[in-house]
Formats: sequence, structure tokens, C-alpha cells
Amino acid sequence: MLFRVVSASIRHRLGLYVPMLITIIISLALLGAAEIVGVSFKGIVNREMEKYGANVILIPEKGEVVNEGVPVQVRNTRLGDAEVNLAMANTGALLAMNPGWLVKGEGDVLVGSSVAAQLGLTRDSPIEIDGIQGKVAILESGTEFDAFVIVNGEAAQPSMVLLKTADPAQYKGKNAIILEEITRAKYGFLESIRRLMLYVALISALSAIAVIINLARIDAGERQKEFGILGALGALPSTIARFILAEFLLLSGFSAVLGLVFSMALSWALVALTAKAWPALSFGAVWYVFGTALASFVLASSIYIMEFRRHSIVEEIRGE
Amino acid sequence: MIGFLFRTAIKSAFIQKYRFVSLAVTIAVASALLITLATLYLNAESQLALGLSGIPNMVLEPQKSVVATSRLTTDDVAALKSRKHFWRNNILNAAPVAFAEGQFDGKPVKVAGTWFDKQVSVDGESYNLGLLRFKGWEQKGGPIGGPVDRNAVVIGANVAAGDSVRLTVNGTQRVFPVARTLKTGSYWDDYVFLDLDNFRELTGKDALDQVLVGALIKPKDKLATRAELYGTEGFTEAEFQAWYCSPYASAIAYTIKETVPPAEVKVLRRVTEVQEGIIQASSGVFMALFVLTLITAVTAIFAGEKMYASAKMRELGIMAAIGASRQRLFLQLVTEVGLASLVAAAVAYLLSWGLVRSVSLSVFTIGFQANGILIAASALTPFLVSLVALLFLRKGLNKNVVEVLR
Repeated sequence: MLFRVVSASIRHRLGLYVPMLITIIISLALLGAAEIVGVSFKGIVNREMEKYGANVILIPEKGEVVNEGVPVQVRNTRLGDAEVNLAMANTGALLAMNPGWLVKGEGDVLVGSSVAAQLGLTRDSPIEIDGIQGKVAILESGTEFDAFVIVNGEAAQPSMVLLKTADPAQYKGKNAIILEEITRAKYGFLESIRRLMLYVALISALSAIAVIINLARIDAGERQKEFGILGALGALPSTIARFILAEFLLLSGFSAVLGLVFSMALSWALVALTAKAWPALSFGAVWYVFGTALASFVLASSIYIMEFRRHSIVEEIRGE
Repeated sequence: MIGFLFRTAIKSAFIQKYRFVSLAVTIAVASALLITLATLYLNAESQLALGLSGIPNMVLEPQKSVVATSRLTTDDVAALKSRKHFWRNNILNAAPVAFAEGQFDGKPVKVAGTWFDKQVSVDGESYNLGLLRFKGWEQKGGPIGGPVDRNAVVIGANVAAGDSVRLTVNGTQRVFPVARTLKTGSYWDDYVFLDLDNFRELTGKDALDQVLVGALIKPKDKLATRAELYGTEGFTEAEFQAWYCSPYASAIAYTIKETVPPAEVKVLRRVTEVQEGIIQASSGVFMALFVLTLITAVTAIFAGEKMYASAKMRELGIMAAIGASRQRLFLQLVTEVGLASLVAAAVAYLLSWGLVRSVSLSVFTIGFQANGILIAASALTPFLVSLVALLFLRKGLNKNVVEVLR
């Protein structure tokens, strides 16, 4: 019976509840999306960090075999009148490991930009080095490799091995150069984003609660007549309070579910369309959305209950 | 007429003070949400970009050719902040570096001469430039911007030393106190850094080997990618202007080359690619969050006004019964809602000022100022939304007077 009365009441007042529900659902969606986006940023930043490329340069001891990474063998040779560093490596694997490197031209011999500028070499021009013939592709890496000429081949006696690893610390103490210059900036960025999104979620939650309470406050006087009639028909104040609470619990459940659905859809749109990544699952968002919806509607219902208790039945029927 | 409308609106607000205050608070909260979050999004993007730009992302080296090598000097470092450099404001820091081999505790050690934190005057402006001004590098032994003894050394994190180092460079031995330890996460962790003047005294070397530059860059788009891959030769005049006037890494490198012709400018792509990717991703997300915040605020204001107008139907019915026209009733509502919006705009300004300041101080340790245009827009938003909401609600005023009064 309680459910029938409450659902009839909601249907009757749909015109008023629709804008209230839309407001709370959108606010909850903003709140949930902020939380999900905050969590998803870790994945986005880690993806972008992939562009950093090799983060460990291991210098193997004589005779040491390294079965990972891209081995590079370096030796001095002559190119025309100049002496250059010739590196032999699997160029495909080298470029795949370092997606940030820029290669200009279709050639098969990678000539570092410093060498190319020094010797006046241009892209796609023919080149012969150490008996290897090919076409020039200019490499701009912003690393020492800009001073190298790199040819595709097997590095039988590697001078260095380039590695990309999630745990560069394991190479500490070995003869290795660990490159993690942007790691500190990354953690600083993630911490700032996490705190910013937390504040966005908090401000959205407070704003949602404040808006709902005030909307309830505007509307509360309108319902006095209904409560008066219920009272005149013999309903106890506690029964009326139960009606109001049930009505708002139903509304809060409805808006929390829709708010969560919308926050997932929105965070998907935000993260997938703007940052081209999948949003992370966040149980925090579920708690925040349900908690805020419940808090908002419990507070709103208490406004109605307080308003009802302030007036006598006669006043309420009169609508005063 | 206007005076009468205002008098009636103010009287109505006083009679139904709770309802009026609730409407004003709803509008104020929604507007404050918009101003606060929009200001945070707008400023956070640049602040986060600044945070990511605390390490060198470009290196200047003397240009080499088969016949000669050019020469870089400290004047070239200062020139990066001079008026002749178009992107001087995007140069966040620069440090000259000269290399030498040295010995420390009988072992070979890499030595570099540099500015630690040098005050440089350029075109009447004063800047602090140097190694210790790269905020993305971790310093131990003192804060960023704190004084550093010129006669001390800064050691990289991989150099094991106590409070002082006995350094031999070019056959001359000197003892230097250690002022700071620098953790860069790169090759520099193996270096011992001397003040450039001391380095010159020890080595007799005057020219620079490198200049490290930290620049604030914009993520590249199709235009910048074209410039990187094929150069700017194929650009039209308009395309070139658009590229030149945007702080892409390639455009900044180009203007540095214009300013310091003897330099070969190398963009540290492993750094810039990551910086660009993260800045681009966060820009998109912030823009989308702003749109969502705008929708939230507008919906809240709309809902508040719809409920306010519905709650006033009985009074409007009485006014209609004693002869008020529909236009008169509409104007009455517009004035009341306008009055509430006015009060809300003032409250929203104060509320958002406090919120923006406290959140920005907490997250970025810097107080953001709410953008002026944004404040004006946010103050106007309640009025505009009110007007639109009331136009929608206008048809509600056609209700039968008898029905309404019942």
C-alpha cells in the first residue's frame, strides 16, 4: 500500500519532480564522472609515458649475454672525409621501442640529425657506409643517437642494450644508465589531478545537496494541503513522515541509479573521446553517487517533514 | 510601471521570504559551481603544464660542420629571454653547461660548469636562471630558490660524497663544500657541478658545450606535425604565421635558432612527446568537464525557477482574478526572479572567490584569480537562464483562474 500511495504521489507531482530529478541526476553524473576521470588519469599518463621510450641503457660486460631489449653495437668508421659513429641494431625494434623518435624519409639507413647537418646529407639521398648501401632517413631523437648513423643488422657484440621496463630500479648497481627524468613530474601531475578531481567531486556533491534542499524548500509549502487532507483522514504524523521518507527514498534510489549510469556514460565520453583511453572502474564513484543521492533526498524529505509539523491540520487544508 | 513592479517584487520577496531565499540560494550555488569549477579547469591546465615543464626539454649545442664548429657563450643564454626572442615568455629556465673530466677520490668523474641560480638582467628585466631552477629535479640540502654558495659544488645523486669533495680538474686540486644533491633521473646524476666562473678558473675553458632549456610547449597538431616531418618550406604565409605564433616545440626551437644562430637546437623528443600527450589529454578532459558543469548549473537554475513559478500559481491566480493581464503576471515573475538572480550573483561571486582560492592553494599551492570574463558570464547566466525558463513557463500562466484558485 505504501508503495502504491507513494508512486501515485510521484506520478501526480511529476511536473515538479522532473526538473528536480534532472538536476540531481546531472549533478550526480558530474560527481561520479569527476571521480572516474581522476582514477582514469593514471592509465592515461602511463600510456603517454610509453612515448618516453627506452628508460634503461645497459652496458654489458665483456662476454655478458643480455636476452632482452634492443642490443646496439657501435664502432667508429668513415663516411666520406668525416669520422662517424656507426651503430648496428634492429632498427624496426629500436623505433618501436622509442615511438617519440622522428624519422624523416623512407630510407633504410638512419642518419642522426647532427650527423646529417654536419655532412649535409638529406632525406632519401643514397648513402654507402662500411660497404652497406642504402637510402638516408634522417633521425631526430633528441638523444645521443642523433650523432650516430644506424644500420639494420644484428649486434653480435653489443656495446649497449636499450631496455624499456616498468621497474628500472632492478638495474641499479649494474652498469646501467637509468632514465626517469619525467617520473617525478608524472607523480606530481597525478597527485594534482587526483586532488583537483576530489575537490570537483566534493563541490559537485555539496552543490547537489544545497540545490535539492532549496528546491524542496521552495516546494514544501505547496504540499501542506495534501498533508492536511491525509491528517484529516486519520493518518498519524508518523505515517505521513513515513510516506514522505518512502517517496524520497524511491526518488533517491532512482536518481542514484540513473546518476551512476550517466556518470559512467559521461566518463566514457570524457575519457574515450577526449583522451582516447578507457575509463577505469571506480567503486569510489558508486559510493559517492549513492551517498550523495541518499543524503540529498533524506535532507529534502526532512524539510517537508519539518514544514508539515509546523502547521495545524486546519491551516494545512486551508493551505496557509 | 518599473518602480511599481520592483515594489511589488520586493514586497512579495519579503512575504515569501523562505521561498525567495531558497530560489536565490539555488541560483547562487549553481552559479558558484560554474564559476569555481570553470576557473579551476581553465587555470589547472596551464598550471599542470607548468608542472610538467620543470625539466629541460631542449638542448642547444654548438653547430658543427666538416670545416668548423661554432661557439656558444653565456650571452646566448641571456638572449633566450631577450626581446629579440619571440617565445621568450615560454622559456621557463635555461642553464649553460661546459664539460670537463676530473678526478674525485682517485676515480674519474664527470665535471660540468654551470649557473646554479644566477640572476641575469635582460632588457631591464631580471630573471633567475640556472641548474637549480629546474623545478622538476629533486634537490636535497636546500629548497628551490634558496641561496647557494658559488664556491660550493652541486653533486648528482649517483656521486657518493660527504660534506665536501676534493676535486682534481686539469691538474689542479681544490676542496669544495657540497651545497646540494641533485636527482634528475638522467645522465646528470653522474656529474659534479661547479659554478661556471670557478669551472673556467680551473679549466681555462671559456666556450659552452650545451645550454639546457626548459620551455612551456603546446601539444602538436596536424600543422606542427607537418612542420616537423617536412619543414616549413611548403607552408603558405598564413600557415607559417599560424605555426610560428603557436608555442609548439618545433616553433620554439625555430625561434631559438633565429635568436642564437650558432646553436643547433635539439628537441628532447622523449620528454616533449610525453609532455604534449599528457597536456593534450588533460585539455580535452577539462573542456568536457566544463561543458558538463555548465549543463549542471543551467539545469539547477531552470529547476529552481520552475518550482518557484509553480509555487506562486495561487498568488498569480489572485492577481489575474483582479484584472492583471498575462503580460503583467509575466513581468511580475521576471522581476522577482531577476531580483533573486541579482542577490545570487553577488553571493556566487563571494562564494566562488573563496572556493577558487582555497582549492587552488591546496592543489597547486598558488592562488588562482577567477577570470573577469567568466565572472561576468556567470553573473549573466542566471539572468539569461531565468528569462529562458520563464518563457517556457509562460504557457503555465494561461491556466484557468478558477482552477488555480481552487
